[in-house]
Amino acid sequence: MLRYIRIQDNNKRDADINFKSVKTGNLIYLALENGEKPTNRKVLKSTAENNINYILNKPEPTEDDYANFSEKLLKDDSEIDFELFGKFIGKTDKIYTDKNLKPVYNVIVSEQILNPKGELVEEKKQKHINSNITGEDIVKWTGKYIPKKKLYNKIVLSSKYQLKHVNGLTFDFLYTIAKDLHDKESFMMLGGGKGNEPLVMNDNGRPYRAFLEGKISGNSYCLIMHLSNQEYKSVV
Amino acid sequence: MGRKIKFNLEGQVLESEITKVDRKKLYGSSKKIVKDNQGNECVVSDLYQGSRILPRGSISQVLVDKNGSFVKRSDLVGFNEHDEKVEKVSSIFALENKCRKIDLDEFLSVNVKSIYQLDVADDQLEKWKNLFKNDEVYFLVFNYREDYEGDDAYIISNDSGFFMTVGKKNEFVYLEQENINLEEEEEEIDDELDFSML
Repeated sequence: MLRYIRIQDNNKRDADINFKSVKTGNLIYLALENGEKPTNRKVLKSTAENNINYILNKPEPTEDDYANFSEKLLKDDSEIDFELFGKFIGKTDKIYTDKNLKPVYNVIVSEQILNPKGELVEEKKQKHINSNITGEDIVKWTGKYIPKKKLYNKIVLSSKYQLKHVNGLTFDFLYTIAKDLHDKESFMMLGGGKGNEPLVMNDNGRPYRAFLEGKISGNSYCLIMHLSNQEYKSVV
Repeated sequence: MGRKIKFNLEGQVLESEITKVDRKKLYGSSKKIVKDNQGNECVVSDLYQGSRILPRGSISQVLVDKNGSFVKRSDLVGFNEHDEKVEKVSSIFALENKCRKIDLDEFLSVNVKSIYQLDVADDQLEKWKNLFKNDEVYFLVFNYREDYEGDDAYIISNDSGFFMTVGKKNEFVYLEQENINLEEEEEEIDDELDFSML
């Protein structure tokens, strides 16, 4: 799917443009000695009727139950379904079940917030978060130029998206932005909402701070949007 | 005590242990909880062929050859883009890791997989600081365990200490006016991490 972002320049003009993630994959692949690439398959190794809780059939098993269970396993082979075990399977659907593996049709979804020690801070209803990079939302030019040499060791710039023009007018628009940032050797901090919020790339996605880097070479340009959600900070 | 890594920073050999910087340890985390009408916690299970419920852990991933026979991961070897076999890359703990200075632009091109903090001993701290006086960035090949492909790693410093950023560097393409591509492409959004900073 072609992805669009509506972005502003330093004159508060906005335009819809393309963006695409930049990611170099692995340069080495794994294969058998003869060069044959094996395929990944899903295989069934257990079902609800063969798990320990189902076979024990008791909410709080005693030590005797476990001892008898061993006998049962040896006698009945109830932990194995000889028809299904080892069968290659395709796609499966995900469903919510209770602890007895019965389907649950009405669920209540909440979010637990944990502090750095893993302790519960609060539990709240999960909110729907809308993406804020296109449509009626404009990614704002905050005007905060941050020199590259000041930012590179403060913030982890984890993922990259390249911004691309969609026609001649947007080529000029993006080239001018790239030249401005190239000349200043700086990033521009981008903001969602009124300009002070992080960007949400997808509905219900995680929020990220975004920093725009621009470079030019002759009549060509390169505009990279870096996303970050972490600082370079010591954990010790 | 953890294992030490030897770094050869353009001729000067220094040692340090490393600690993974887990984002959860800096900012905390969030967890999705699903309950039924009675307030009992639910679990995610697989539904196979619309009728059979499979509890978590019922499905395994296996590798098979063209005859459908199981393949052990240890039987696999690495090949490069020219279909030539490659040697294994040693673990960073097993050798003296050569580090060279690189430009800031290369460092900025990296898609980051993980961050490690260098736990520098007090008696080596000044030597380390001297090597990073002018915002130097050092590159090395990173492999935690011996494997066929190493990652790109970069050592940087700030007021908080020394850090190693591990990931893959990118080559960016410069666009000219005629480089317009409006064809549909599969796009993957990397959206795994939480944000609670700044």
